[in-house]
Amino acid sequence: MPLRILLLTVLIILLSGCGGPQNMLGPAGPAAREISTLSWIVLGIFSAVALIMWVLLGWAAWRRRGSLSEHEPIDIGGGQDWILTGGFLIPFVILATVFVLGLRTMMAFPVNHGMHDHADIRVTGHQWWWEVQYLDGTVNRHFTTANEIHIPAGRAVDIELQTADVLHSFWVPKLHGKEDLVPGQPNLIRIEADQPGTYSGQCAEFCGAQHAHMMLVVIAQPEAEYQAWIAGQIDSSAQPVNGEQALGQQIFLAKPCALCHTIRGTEAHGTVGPDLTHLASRQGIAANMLPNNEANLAAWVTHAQALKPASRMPNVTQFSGDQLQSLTAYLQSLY
Amino acid sequence: MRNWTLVIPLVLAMFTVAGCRGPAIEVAAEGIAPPIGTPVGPVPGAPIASMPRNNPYQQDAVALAEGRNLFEAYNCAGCHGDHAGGGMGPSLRDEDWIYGSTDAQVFNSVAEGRANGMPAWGTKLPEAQIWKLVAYIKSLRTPKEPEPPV
Repeated sequence: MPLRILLLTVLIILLSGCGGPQNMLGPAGPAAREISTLSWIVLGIFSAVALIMWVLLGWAAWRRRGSLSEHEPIDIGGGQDWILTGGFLIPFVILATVFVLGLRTMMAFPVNHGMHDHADIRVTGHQWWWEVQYLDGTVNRHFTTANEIHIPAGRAVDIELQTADVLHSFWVPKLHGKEDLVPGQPNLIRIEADQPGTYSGQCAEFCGAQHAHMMLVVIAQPEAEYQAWIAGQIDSSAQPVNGEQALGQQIFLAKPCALCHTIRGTEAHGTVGPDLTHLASRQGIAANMLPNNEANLAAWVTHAQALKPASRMPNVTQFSGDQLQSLTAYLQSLY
Repeated sequence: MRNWTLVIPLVLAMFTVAGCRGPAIEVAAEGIAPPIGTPVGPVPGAPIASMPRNNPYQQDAVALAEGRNLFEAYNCAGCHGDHAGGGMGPSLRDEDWIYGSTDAQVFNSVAEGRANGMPAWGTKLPEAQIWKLVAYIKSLRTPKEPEPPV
């Protein structure tokens, strides 16, 4: 009975690691599938090796059980064939196999320097958020957004990765393997999602105080929906449609907000923080640390340093409650 | 068969040694590294010729008080901390002047912005207000500082 409980406990612990939104063993795209397959193969091979080793060790212990006086001294002569086979040949074959499989997986990520010239998207890592520039088509179709990447489902997208400050790493576990953002060295990665859906990701290279709060979202959409999203993003920002929003826009432009943030279609053209032109269309704020809603927007504007200490967003408190409400109303109108 | 155990480590050792010889590094004569052509680190820019080299307000008490008010009103404290003691942005009270301590250099830092998050306030503030801010910033830790921290 205790054995059964023990097995059950172990099984529960093992299974609790499965699933989840960032499960690399639940691939949703070709690159992630290659990695997942390789992981299972390697896990299988080395589980088998470990099992055989433990059985041999157990067998040796069993055969020689008892006290030393019961046995003749161990004959240390001979056995070189065992060493040659078990210590060299078998490991060589296994490691060579894993090496070749690893090379095969790497070949599933076609990266060449020509891709730099026509990357579809450029992602720039900042402490601690993601700048996302769409480079598809002619220059008048380029636009900038943040922390949320939309891609067409079933079509490969090439992403150029660079950083504005320190090392970061771009990782959406269900879609692809980690790729570092290296200062002065743009990298490339090709991602593809089989099905429409939302895939969450994370900075995977420690980059400072708020590394854990540097999240991103990849949203794969059917082609028509994706094109509609692109068209919406290319448009400049929504203009206020009522008095409250108009007041909010005035506050945004008069207060320090406009110095660090851009809202296309207004005089705000700062480049320190994320582009807010279509802020309301995004799921999260503060690099997806908080859901994008009125309460969080107000909290973020006034208490950013409490929510995400050391981030570049200061606490902005120079307004009344009514003014803050107008400001959030304006920010929420930016579809 | 016994000599096999000798042959394997020998082969491995040969592979290892083969990896030891890296690409030759160019070393200048007498083993001294060649000089670096470009300076390292931020270099404070020279003051622009047309700009007044010194603050027109100097240590005028009214200008200092106005500078303090502007410091609060434009949320400078949001990054540089209360009384400019440092927050997510650098302290302006300590001895370090990352981008230079002359009036013109501090003016440039405010007006044109600096790397790592300082926005260019020159697009928003009239020159006179920037000079008042400069006057206030330079008065920190001096007896003339308005409303010093207690």
